[in-house]
Amino acid sequence: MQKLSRSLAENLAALDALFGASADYYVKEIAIYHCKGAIVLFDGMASLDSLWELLLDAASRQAPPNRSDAQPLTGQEAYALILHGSAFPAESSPVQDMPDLVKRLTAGMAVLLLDGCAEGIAFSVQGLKYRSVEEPSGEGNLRGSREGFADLLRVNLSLLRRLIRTPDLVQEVQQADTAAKTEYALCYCKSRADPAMVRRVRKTLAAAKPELLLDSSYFVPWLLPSWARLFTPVSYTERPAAAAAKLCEGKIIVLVNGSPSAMVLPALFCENFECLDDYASTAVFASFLRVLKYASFYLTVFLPGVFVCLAVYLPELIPPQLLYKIAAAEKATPLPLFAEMLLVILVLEVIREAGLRMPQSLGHSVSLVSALILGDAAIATGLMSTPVIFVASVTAIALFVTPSLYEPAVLLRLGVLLAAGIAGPVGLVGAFFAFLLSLSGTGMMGVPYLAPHPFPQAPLAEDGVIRRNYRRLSRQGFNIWQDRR
Amino acid sequence: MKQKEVFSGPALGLSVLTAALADAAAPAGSVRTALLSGLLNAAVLSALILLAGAFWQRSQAFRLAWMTALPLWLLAELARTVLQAHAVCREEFRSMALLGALPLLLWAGGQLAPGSWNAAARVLWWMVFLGIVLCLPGLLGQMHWARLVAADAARPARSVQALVYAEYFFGPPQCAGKTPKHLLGLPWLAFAVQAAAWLGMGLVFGAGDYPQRELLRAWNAGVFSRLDALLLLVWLACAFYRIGFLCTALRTCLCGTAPAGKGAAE
Amino acid sequence: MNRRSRFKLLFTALCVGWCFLFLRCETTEKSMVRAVYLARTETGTQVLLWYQAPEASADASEASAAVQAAGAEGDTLEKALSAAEEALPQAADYRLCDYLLTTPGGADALLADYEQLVLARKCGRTAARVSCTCLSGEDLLKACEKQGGFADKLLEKLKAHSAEMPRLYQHGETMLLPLLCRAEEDAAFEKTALLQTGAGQTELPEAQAEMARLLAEQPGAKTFWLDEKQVKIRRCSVSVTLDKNAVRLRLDAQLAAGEPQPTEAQRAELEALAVQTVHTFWQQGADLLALGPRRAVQAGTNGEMFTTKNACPEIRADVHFLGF
Repeated sequence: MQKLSRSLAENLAALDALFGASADYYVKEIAIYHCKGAIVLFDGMASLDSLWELLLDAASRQAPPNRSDAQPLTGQEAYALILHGSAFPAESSPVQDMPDLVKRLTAGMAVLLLDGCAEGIAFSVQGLKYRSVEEPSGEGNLRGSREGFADLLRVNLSLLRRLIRTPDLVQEVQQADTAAKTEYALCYCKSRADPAMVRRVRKTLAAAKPELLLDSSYFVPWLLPSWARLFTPVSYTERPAAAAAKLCEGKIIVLVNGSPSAMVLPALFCENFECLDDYASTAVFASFLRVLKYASFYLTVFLPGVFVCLAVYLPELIPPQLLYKIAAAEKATPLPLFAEMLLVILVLEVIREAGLRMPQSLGHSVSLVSALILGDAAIATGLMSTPVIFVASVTAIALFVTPSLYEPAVLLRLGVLLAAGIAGPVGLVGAFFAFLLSLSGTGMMGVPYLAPHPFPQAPLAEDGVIRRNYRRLSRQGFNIWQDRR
Repeated sequence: MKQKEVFSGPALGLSVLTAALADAAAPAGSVRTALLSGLLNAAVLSALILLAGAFWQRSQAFRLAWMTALPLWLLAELARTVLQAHAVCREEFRSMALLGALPLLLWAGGQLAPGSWNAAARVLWWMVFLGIVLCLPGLLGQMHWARLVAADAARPARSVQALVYAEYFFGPPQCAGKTPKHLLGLPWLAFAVQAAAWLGMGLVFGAGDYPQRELLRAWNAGVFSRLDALLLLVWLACAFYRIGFLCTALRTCLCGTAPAGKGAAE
Repeated sequence: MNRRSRFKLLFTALCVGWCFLFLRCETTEKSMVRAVYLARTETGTQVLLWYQAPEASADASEASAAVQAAGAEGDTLEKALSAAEEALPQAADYRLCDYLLTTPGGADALLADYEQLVLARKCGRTAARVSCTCLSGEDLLKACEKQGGFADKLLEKLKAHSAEMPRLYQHGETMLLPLLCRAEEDAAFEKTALLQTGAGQTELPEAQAEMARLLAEQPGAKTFWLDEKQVKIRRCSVSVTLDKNAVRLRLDAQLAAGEPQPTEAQRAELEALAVQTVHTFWQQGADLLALGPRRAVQAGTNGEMFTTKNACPEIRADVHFLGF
């Protein structure tokens, strides 16, 4: 580890070698307390205005009287005076080596290096430009907080601290072992989280070596090593209010600098069907919405496969009028029902992805083209049939009721359709069974993904598929680490 | 939140229910005698389970014999369930897909921990319950007590064979020698399934000698003229469960410990 | 790629190949058989299949699926059925086949043969609803071909009267079969019915047929002409009490909405009709009120049983009309 030199020129030369080519690297040689020094910072990350105000103002008011022998202060003396004998708002821990200097500079601090002193003084004068605290677009709600996490880690930590105003909240910040040295934070409530699990997570994150860390989800392969997984027992939120609620349940939150997405672990399957609005609405309405969400999820996963299976193999389970419309439609199209359904689902996925990635100005064109192509031209040319398009559309819409389960739902839907289409009712049962096993076989840190409170273990539990009123729920709080009954 | 890695009562019960549904056949003799002898069989089996548990704790030789016989028995049950499920797939759905999925099913059985089967069992029990609830309205209108009485009077009194499954004797190996109370209920569960099948066949078909699946095919209510396929699919899901469950049980017996589940390891 | 990875890849490919070996893809293009007609002819057996096979239409709102008929004859029932299936445009599917039509006379043997075929080949189900028709196979085929919508209307009629029809698995017991006959340009169910027992077939007059349906607690309103006036009973509960050798039959009937309360004379006529119907059944060897099983439950197997081989016990009927 390269230590700082007592010579200012050597330190500046070393920094020049590292950052000299960068346009935002800023060095200003100054004299403070009649001692040669230099301010180093990254332009755009530290606020020069506040730095000069702070430094010069303080320097001019607190300049020591000239000594009678008219000798300037040495670097060490000026350092001691500034750090310990003045009111400069400097960081309490000095900068002692080059990596620490780089770390603080890239955090937006300004560092004062003095000639004749092997330590630097850092000033928190960050003036980083970042996306403001806005409402997250991916998590809509009717009532409750509209704040969402920003991209800056420190801002996010402050948002959590504002909500949990007790000493219980611990927020540990570490640097990940990546080329970019990205910061991440491990947050938990020390009286609620399982200390052994916190230690395990801390150790795992410290040992993780992602090439890049741009989001908290990049840690998942280290936290949950597995070659194949359909459901991941972690969840994500961009809402500080939701994150605070999870912390109060004893869960652990991981935040990464540069991403507003907070990873919550461990997560339960039932949590995908809950939202903050549940607790702000009446218990009856909240229960109704949860039942609707469960129904929508199962509809989106199983409806295409069940539709194909019933129409082809088990016609007695469909009203005859509908059955003959489906049969007539299949007869008119060149593909069998299962292939047609697969094609429509894939086309809908393409349209969804295009809608997500394309520039907003082209949004209307895609909507128009997809509506015309699917809704009219495909039927007129006899390539697709109306029952299939209707079913596929219903499942596509139902999927957005539980966006957090989007990825597994899409894959499951395709899997169920393939299984039902080419293996009939036996394939449908097999697909359902595989879905069941993938849910029941998933868990994290000893917490099973399915359970304990919600359906099917205890469907009439107080906060399961249906919810009791909040007063009753508040009598006995839920902690993720509590023993299963 | 950590689960114990032993099979729960619902898991064992579901396995027994699946087997009993496949094995229950109309009695050759009178239903009344069959019910009485079935009750007696269930009581005797419960007592045997308790006795076996007591012997397990006292006799090393008995334990050894038990641990040698149990895996073989589980293997035999596994093979039987596979054949039964395959027969249903072939006869009812004209499909051989079970054979294609069998390697995956056996692999899943070897990988998953008992905790996963316990969780899956609870879901499938709800499906079974739903199946029973759906079954009744379609058959109630066709059930006539007079048919049962008239048919019964014409038949000789004959006892029925007890349904004995490996799950009954699974308690001591997985619970450190103790016999959990839920094991004693398993023979009664099998008897309940048998009794429901006998009564159903008697009330609907009377003296007619029909295969058990005809009872399901007789279902008819409202807009839906048939629901036997759906009910058979519920049984098939339970059969898939039983195949995987028996694999895990076999592995537990042979290896001595349950396979490490994902939930426990992470 | 090392040896282990290659082996894993090969093993995975084998597993996937094994899975796909047993898969197949079917379509909805089948002829869905809705009803079957069976009749004994001089040369063998005649079978008619009413089926639906819709025409192609990508826009489902334009799709139509008219019921059509296909028939054939054969030496045996199985041959006739196979020949009829070959006449269908696509492969036959019996999953929606719920109705069975047969002809009077020799129905029991034919139904028994058909039942065996159903159990062996699954060409229907034992719970199919059975009715009788006095129309011949040729008449039915001609009507289906010449009259548009005849087959659809026939199927609708079968559905409407399905509650009155017995099931195929009851063919060894007493069956009260509705009778379908020609009525002008259409087919309609007669008010009379055919009573089929082990002794043979008897045609029951309208009143007795209706009373038999009432005593069997079949759903649906029942209409009687009592004292030259119509009495419509919406719902009726039947209670049977056994005394030593006598039977007390009580009917608690709820009238249809707007129906006036029947007079004493009408009530007495209805009581007499109830007794007469039970006697008629008894004479044909059918125990309409399940008197035998009731006595068995009451007295046990050692007691004196009621059986149709003996004389019919004395029956006293009481009819009460509910005021609501």
